[in-house]
Amino acid sequence: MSRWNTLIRYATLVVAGLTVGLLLSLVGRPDFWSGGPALGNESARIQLSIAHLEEEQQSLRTELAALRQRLAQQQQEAAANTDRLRALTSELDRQQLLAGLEPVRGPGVLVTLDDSAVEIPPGADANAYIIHEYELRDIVNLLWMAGSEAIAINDERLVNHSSIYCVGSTVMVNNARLSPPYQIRALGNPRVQQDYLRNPSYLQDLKDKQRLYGLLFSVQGMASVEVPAYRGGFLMQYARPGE
Amino acid sequence: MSDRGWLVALALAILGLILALALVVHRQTGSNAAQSLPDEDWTYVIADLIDSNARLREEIGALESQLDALEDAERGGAVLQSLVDEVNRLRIANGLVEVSGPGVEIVVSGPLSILDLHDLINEVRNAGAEAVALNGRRLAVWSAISTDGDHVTVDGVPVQPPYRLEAIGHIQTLEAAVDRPGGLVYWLEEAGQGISAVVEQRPKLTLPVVEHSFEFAYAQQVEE
Repeated sequence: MSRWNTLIRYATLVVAGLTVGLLLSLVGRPDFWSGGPALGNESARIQLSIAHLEEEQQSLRTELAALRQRLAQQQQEAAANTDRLRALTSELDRQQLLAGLEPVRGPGVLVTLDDSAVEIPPGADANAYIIHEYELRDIVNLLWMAGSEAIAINDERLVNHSSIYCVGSTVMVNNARLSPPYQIRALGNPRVQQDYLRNPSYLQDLKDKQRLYGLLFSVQGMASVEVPAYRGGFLMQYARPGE
Repeated sequence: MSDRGWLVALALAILGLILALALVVHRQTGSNAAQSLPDEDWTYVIADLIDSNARLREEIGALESQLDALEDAERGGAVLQSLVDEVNRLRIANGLVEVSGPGVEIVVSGPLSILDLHDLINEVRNAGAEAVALNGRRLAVWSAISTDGDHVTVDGVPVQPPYRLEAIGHIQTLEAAVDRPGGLVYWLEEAGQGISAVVEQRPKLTLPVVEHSFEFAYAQQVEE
């Protein structure tokens, strides 16, 4: 037997061994028996779209997580805003009440003032027979001293901006012209208010004129008196809160 | 062939078998292990993925519209701000907050009467003063200027002359109101009782909070 022959025999054995090995390993695969297809174009496409869908899902999940976080944050802020809104609204109500922007009712006094009905004698000073704006100011100041909480002259509520002045012989309050009789309504403790108004050391001038010239000045304690709301503006053009 | 020859051939055949097995195992692990699913199962996987992605998108859409609604409410922050402004404005009016702004300072020395002081305060209020203080005491609408017999009192607290009235508002209007020819300062000085007054422009005044708190005890709000 030549060497060549021996070599061919060996080679045949190797090829046979490889073939048997391959066959055996194929038989061992599950899809060999289920009749499943081999890998092809179809499968590659499926794999690709799955990979694509999975990738998409991942990014959607990330987006959703971010959104949830933002939403939670916003909800917290909104809740805080709602709390602030409630607090601010009740504070606004309180400030409006104090500032005179709401009509109020309660016990108090009604002070009525009017020019004298007496005929002015010739040569007499006519000023002594009429009510002046400074007399109204004096009474209002006294009423604040007596702890009044709200005051109006006729229909004009006195507020921070209010002044009582006169143009000619017309009294003006909150830029509204008032005419006698002047009715001052003041809310507070009627006893204390009347004590102040009747105290002889206050309003001496007015009381003298009442006696001498017939000016009308009357004080009436009231179980309930209504003081109207201020109807003007509260423009703050120059004043700013804080330093 | 010799016995030795057969042994060599058998060894080579076993080697071939091992190589072939190794090759197949390598190929299988190199590819996606899940590829071993049949095709109709893949369709389920894809359908599932498409479905769950659609649900995720739906949820994202819902969350986005919630977020939009909340951000609209955030614009309600503007409402909040306007409320804050309004409250501040009224606190200034009520003297419940420290306040700054331009204005005038009027210093009066001499025997000033209570009525003169009322006049002066009334005059600056009439000239649009937004906040007023007398000798450093902020005046609210309910403040009373009086006397305890010896001294002028502001809300019951005595103050010493000279009287210093600070008023925040339009400087020229305030100045003209008290210092104009024939105005209040003129009359006070003309009265010949040794009263003198100096009116100074102040680019910035800072007035304190009213010192006595004020709450309604008798007044009830009338519901409209």
